[in-house]
Amino acid sequence: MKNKILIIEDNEQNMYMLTYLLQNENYEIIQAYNGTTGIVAAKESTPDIILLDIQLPGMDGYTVAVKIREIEKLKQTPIIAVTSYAMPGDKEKAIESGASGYIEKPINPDTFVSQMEAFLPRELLLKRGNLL
Amino acid sequence: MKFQKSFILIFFAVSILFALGLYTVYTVVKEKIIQDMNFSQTVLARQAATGIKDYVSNVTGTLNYLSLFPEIIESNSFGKKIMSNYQMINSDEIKSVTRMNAKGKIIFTFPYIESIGTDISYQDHVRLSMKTHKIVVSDVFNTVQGFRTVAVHAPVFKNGHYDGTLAFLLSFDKIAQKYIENIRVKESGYGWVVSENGIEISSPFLGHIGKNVYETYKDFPEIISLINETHKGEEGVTAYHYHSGRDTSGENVIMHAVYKRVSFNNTFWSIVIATPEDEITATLSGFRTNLLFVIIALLLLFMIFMYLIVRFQVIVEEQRKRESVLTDLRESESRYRYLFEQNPVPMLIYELDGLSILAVNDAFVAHYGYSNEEALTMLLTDLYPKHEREKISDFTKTLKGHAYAGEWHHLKKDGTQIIIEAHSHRFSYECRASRVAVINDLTERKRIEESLKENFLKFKTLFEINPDAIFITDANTLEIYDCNQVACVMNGYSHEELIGRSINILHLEQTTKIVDDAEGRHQFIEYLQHHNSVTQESIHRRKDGTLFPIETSMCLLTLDGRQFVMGIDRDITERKRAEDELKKYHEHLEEMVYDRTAELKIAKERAESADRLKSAFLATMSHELRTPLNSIIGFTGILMKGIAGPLNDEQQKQLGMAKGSAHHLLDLINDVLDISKIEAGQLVVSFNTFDYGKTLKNIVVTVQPLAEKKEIKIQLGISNDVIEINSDERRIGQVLLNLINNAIKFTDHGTVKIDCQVIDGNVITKVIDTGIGIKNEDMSKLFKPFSQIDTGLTRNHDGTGLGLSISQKLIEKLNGTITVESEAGIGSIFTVTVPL
Repeated sequence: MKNKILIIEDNEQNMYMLTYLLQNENYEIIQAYNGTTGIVAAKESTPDIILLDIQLPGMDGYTVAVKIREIEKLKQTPIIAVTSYAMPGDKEKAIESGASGYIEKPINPDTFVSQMEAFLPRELLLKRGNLL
Repeated sequence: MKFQKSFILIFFAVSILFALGLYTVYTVVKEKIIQDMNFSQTVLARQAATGIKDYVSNVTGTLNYLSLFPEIIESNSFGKKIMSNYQMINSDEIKSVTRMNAKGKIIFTFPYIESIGTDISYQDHVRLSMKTHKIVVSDVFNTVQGFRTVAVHAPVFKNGHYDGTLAFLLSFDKIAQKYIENIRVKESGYGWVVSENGIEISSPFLGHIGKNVYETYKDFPEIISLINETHKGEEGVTAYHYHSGRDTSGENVIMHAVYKRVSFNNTFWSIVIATPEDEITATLSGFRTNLLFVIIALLLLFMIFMYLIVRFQVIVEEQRKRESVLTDLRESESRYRYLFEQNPVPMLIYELDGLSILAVNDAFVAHYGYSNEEALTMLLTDLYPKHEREKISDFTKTLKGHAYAGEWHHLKKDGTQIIIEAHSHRFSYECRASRVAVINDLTERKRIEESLKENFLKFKTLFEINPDAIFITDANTLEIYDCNQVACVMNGYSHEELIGRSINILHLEQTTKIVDDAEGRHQFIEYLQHHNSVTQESIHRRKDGTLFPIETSMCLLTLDGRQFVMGIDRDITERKRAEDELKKYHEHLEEMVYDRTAELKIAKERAESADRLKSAFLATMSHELRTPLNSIIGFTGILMKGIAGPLNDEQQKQLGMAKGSAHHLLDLINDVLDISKIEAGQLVVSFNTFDYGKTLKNIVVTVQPLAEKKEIKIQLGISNDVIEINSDERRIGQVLLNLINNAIKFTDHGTVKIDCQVIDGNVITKVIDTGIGIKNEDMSKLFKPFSQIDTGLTRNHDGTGLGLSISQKLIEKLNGTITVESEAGIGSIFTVTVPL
């Protein structure tokens, strides 16, 4: 069974890029274009990892992270903020809201997958054979 | 003494208990002994009874036997011969043999043959025999021949008819001797015998024998009752009072008696054996007496023992008390000795007679300089200067009890004269009439008093000549205690008018007046206590009513335990006037400053809001620019990775160019962001300890590929003392990377040399290149933003032109500097200096 990644991202191009990149790495992708649908999707599908944009229409990414963390079964799920906010304090704010990590946009396609997989639980990676 | 009383009581109680116990035991034992004695007496009585009975039976048997002889029945000569022979053979016991016919007439008798023919039918027992025709035993009676006898008659039958009797007269003395008189119990216990008729058959009292006991013992009802008892039973035990057998004239004693009946055909006898009680219990009494003696002795010993124990305890207790008193005494003595010897005040003891010094204490020795031995050879008068010696000698004679000797002069060993006062007390020292004196050296005190007096004068002068008014006011009543002349003149009062009045009379009503109630004064004092000195301005009113401003400095002072406020008043009329002038100017100035400040404030707010706008704009711009860049860089990367399919060389090259441009744009955005952060003061540096050399090496490793591409050699030299520094590793790295990158970028041939060492607590890093260098006129523009020197359409070199500007700002933020030396066409040296 493929490992599931939930991507919450409003920019269609970015969504496409991440989906393309990760499907190529044999992940199952669940897409959500705003915070509200993202939370619902997370609850229903229980993804292995969540990639979260911060600037979202309506509910912003920080709030989404907080809400996801309130769901019992998602307490330990890695949430990675993927954002172009690069002002001082942005990273700290994301971590405070419950994100496990932070990848700055623009992403580097050569390193993005390994950056992300660093947040996956060890046994999951073992199963995928990505860990020696 | 209480103890003795209770001791005697206890002794008596013990004695009585002992006596009671002893008496009980004695009674029980005595009873037992009497019981045993009675048993023995009964045995004796039974033996005697059996003996008598047997004897009489023998006699009766013989009589019966003889009475069957025809010769005796006929009483012929042969018969007479048998009878007389038998009597002769047994004459000891048988006093006579008699043959009596049926009518009671003696037919034959032997040896008193003169009685033959005598009629003896008048005798009771004979009549009984004649009546019953059976064997009859008589009572004891006296014969005509004058001996005591008992007659036994056996009937004689001739041809079946009664024909009188054959009788023996038995010697009763013999019987009594054999069976009764030999009975001896203890010393004087004896036996006696009474017949059925009350005739005493045998008795140790010879006078009683043959007499009627009812007559003999008519005064002894106990004996009469005993006799009556013998009629009722075979044997029994009883007791009676009678004189003992050993002493007939003496007092009556208790006789313990037993009786036993001896029965015959016609009658009976009663054997009584009686023993005096005192003899029965003689052993016991002896034992009792001895026991009593022993017990009394034991009691006495016990009492003495108890007494000694108690006495011993009393002695021990007294000894203990005495020792405790002695200890107290010793302690008291040592206490007083200590009081004397260790007293810090000089003390001495002198003998009244002769005034020789007997003892001095350590303080005396220390104070006067005389050794203890020296002092003991001196007289009291030796301590005084010559002119006082006679006076003190006379003075000591008047002293009684406790006395204050007043002030005198004493001489120390070194000749110094001191002023002293002495107290002395009468005292017995080693049985000598003495006085103990306590000496107070007043010299120092006198000196202080003198100096105080002097100080007082100084103070008084200062007080009076002071140009300011000085008031000394009681802190609690606010009454003026003292003031100087200036104070009087300033306020228009005389000294007398002011003293004793409230300080408030000087103050203008209700303004600067000190609140004249307990709480107000208390608050005032408290305030002064917390401030060393308080200065305030107030308005005073002169006696004539005119007002004038003063400045008062106040402080709290304590004299003789009273709290005072000392106030120094200065007339400030002139100063006030000057101040008022100044104030006018001042107020105008303030107005101007206020206006200007308001203007500046608005300008500042405007500027700040512009800054905020700029920051927000930059943040938004950064984000907005990054979003499309994300697409460009991301997709270029994905395409170049060949995920979507392989690319030909030309496509790869062109995408590479796009990627390069995109990255340049990203760098530009990042640099612009950095600059804006720095300018908006938002740049935050964080200090940490890190290895500077290691950071530098890592940077060199990352730029190595770029250098290799341009065939430029990098020389790195780090001195050994470059170790850990405390700074922001990321920012330092950013600056060094920028400088080294620049050096490689602007160098086409040759080397880039990096030299790092520690000088004077700073890490100094030089980046030396052999590049294009910088013209003198361009030096000033070098650190300005967007100022890559080689501006123009033909830009040979990448970069945003912001690097040096950012680097300089960062290094300044880290308390360091960047400097540059350069010569166009030769090369440049950039020097970074940061503190360790």
